[in-house]
Amino acid sequence: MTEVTYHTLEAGNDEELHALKTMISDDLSEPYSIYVYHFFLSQWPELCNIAKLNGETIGVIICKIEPHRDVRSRGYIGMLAVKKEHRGHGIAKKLVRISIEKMIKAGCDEIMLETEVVNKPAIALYEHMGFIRSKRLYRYYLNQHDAFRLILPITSKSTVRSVYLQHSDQLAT
Amino acid sequence: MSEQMVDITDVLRRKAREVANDAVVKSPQFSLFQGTQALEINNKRLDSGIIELSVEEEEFDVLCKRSLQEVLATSDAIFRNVFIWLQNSSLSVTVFSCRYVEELLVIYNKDANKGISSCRFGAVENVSMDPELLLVHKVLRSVVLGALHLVRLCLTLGQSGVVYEEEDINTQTMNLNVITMVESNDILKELNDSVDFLKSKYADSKDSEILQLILKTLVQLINLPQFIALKVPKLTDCSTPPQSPAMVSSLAALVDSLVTHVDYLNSLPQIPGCFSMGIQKRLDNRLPSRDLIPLKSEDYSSLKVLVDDLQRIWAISNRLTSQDVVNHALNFANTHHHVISRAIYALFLVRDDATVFGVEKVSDFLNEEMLRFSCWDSEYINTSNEIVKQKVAELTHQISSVALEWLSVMNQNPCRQRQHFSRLITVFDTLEYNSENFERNLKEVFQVNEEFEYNGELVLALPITSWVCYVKMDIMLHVVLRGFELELYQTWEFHQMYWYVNYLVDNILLILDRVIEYNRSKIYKIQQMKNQLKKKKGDQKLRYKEKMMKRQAQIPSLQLFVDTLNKKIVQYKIIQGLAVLQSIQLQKYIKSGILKTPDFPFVQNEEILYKLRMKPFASVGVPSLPPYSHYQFHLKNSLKQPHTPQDINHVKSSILSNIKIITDGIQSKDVTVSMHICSQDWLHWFRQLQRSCIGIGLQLQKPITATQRVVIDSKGFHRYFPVVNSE
Ligand SMILES: CC(C)(COP(=O)(O)OP(=O)(O)OC[C@H]1O[C@@H](n2cnc3c(N)ncnc32)[C@H](O)[C@@H]1OP(=O)(O)O)[C@@H](O)C(=O)NCCC(=O)NCCS
Repeated sequence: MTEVTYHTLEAGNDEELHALKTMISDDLSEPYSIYVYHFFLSQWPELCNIAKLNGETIGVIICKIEPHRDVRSRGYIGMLAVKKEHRGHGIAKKLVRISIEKMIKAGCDEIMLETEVVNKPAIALYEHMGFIRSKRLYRYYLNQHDAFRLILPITSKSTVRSVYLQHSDQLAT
Repeated sequence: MSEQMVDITDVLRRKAREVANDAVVKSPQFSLFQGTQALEINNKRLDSGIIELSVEEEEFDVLCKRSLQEVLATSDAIFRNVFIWLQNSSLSVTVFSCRYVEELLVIYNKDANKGISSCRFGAVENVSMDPELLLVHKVLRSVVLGALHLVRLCLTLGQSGVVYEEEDINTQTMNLNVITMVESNDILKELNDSVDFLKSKYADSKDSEILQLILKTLVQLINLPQFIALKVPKLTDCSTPPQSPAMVSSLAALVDSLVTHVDYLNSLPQIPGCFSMGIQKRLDNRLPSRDLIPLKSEDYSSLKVLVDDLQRIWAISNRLTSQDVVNHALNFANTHHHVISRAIYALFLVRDDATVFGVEKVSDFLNEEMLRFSCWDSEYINTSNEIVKQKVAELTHQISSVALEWLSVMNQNPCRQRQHFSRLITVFDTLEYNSENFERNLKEVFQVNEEFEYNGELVLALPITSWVCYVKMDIMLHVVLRGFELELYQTWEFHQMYWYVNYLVDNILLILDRVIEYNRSKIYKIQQMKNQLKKKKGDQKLRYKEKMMKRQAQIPSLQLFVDTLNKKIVQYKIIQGLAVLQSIQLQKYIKSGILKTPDFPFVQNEEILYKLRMKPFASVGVPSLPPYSHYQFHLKNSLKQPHTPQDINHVKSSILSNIKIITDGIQSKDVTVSMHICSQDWLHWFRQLQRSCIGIGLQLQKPITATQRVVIDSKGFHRYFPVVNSE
């Protein structure tokens, strides 16, 4: 059997972009426009990783890193999907690991995402990596489901309310 | 080519040549993030311009005559769509998707200043000659007007800041003015005229009768703003509670009738093309294309919920004390409500003029709360020093605005409640710091000595600070416990969270004990006056006696407050007992190895997870967050000393007997329990606690094997104490 390979999305590879868009549009309840992809891909190309098998794109993860209230660096997992027929083989787990490692290397203090409370596979996947549920968001999705905000703390900055981080920054300067 | 047009073909070609392949072209004023909210042309899920419509939709005629049954089916669908919208759909897929609504709104928006006369479906001649034309242009039109007025009212509530736009109520109106220039009286008249018309022209018809029900219900709903303005004075012991307002009782009767017709209404065919996605295509739509919501998703049960809510809100007219207001608010927060009732409750509770129920200032309400807790007959109240009085007033003013924030949590959705409470922890903590400084200063600067003997020592009473600190800890407890309700904790976190509950309750019990002692010391001091009296003579004796009698009159109140605080203690002990029982059960799982913190790949150490979880409490001065090592130490110790069946029975029986004390108090309308308003809800609350106690108790008797796994069973149990099963 051929191995699944993992790599970042090739810039300008329209075929891959098209494949991942189709996959996400089939699997995620929220509709995303091309501008959402541009937002992520043009600013954090290294954080868009795909899984391929025999040339076919079968899994994707798209992330970003941005400062949160100027006090901590927050990695964010925006989208994750694995083609139905390839689920249950650890592909998502690998994609998430690759992204988290990259985000840790880039200096993230925490990694965050939102997922529907009814999405048991995704919740289990992230919670097995150490994410905890920090908030429940009321009717967060267009389909009216509540969401959980999940956070994986990387550094201790993640464990201090941002107002206090702001204060300590002011004290330090 | 016209003069206003400029040919840019060349510029465009030139510029396009400069653009590199695969580069994003954007103006520097524009961030890519803004682009994420844009819709995309030709994307099926986003572009409502490419929605395909059926012939019936394309050719739908809003002007032609309709039968009574068609008008009834359409009116019912429009009305139900208002409630579907309020379950957080958008107007475009609900009320506005009706062609009659769309047509009327479009025509009205062309000339809104003309008010009701521009509310038409279009121009038709000789309407008055034909009853079936009148059914459309008079009756159906009035239903559309009534429904739109109701929509407008809900939009106003949605935008009033007491609930969240988009999250609680979707307020996007496709840029249409929702008949804001039409007077409600004009609409009421149209609705009532339609009722009269149906009565005279369609007297003996079931369809007419149901249609009249819809019209009359709309009339009552349009009157809802009057409810918000009702003043609700406090009851005195001898006054009888006011009757339910007429609009609420009529509404209740109408809705009860309406729901009996739902099956019949569901069986009526809809006019083909009458409800359509077409409006998303034709008008200003900023949302992705969305399917219409099936009509059967609403069967008027949410209208029933709304009416029940109004009755529950009105139940506050039975209040005697500020404690009743607090408990009523807490009960409101704990129970499920229609979003409109949540908005109404907030506006009904705290009015625009910053009064509670339109009759007392928030600061008076707060003062009563503090008096009933710790401040009754204290030096701050009795002092004749005007400066001190002024300073105390300033502080209570500051506390009032925070108390207002506390009140405004109660109508939020459950997720927001926890977030707001979490934010209030720091607000109250700061307030406590300020208040303590203030009270210490009173002694040092003004020699107002508010001291009493506690545990053999003379200590500062700090009555105001005690109240602030107590409320803060109670809020902290809410934040922890609501985490269970919102399913925020994974099972491996349960033990740690119940341990923290236990810790918080310990601290709450300490402060309650201190305040009770302080109140008792005031009673004792008054009782001691008798001895002093004996030593006085003549005029002095007379004056002292008068003073003593005045003070003695305070004793019953003080005693009542002590009793009230003791009942609070009973309630906290129930929570604490259940937390302990739950911990004992979890310890069994931990010991047998089927419950443990997993080995996480990216987590440095377990402490960081603890700190993240406890982030809301980390900044609090008192009670300070115990370090993770304390928790570990506690866990290790508890695993070493397993509980005997006698221990467990003792915990269980004291929980159950404490629950009984409270439920008896609710049933006998005991003022120290103060749960006589919405007493059924409270009884349910405590019965659920009882079920959790019994459920956990039964689970504790089951043997555990190392191959089992833990599963949470929350059904039927109290939301703070689900039963953790093994299977
Ligand atoms: C969620 C999703 C990405 C998982 O992909 P996958 O490749 O099947 O996942 P993996 O095989 O890597 O499984 C990783 C872990 O996820 C959890 N998991 C996966 N599928 C699960 C399921 N059906 N039920 C419960 N847990 C599941 C398990 O914990 C699993 O670890 P384990 O096998 O060691 O127990 C996939 O189901 C999917 O594409 N879903 C639709 C899109 C989506 O929901 N994305 C997430 C939005 S945030």
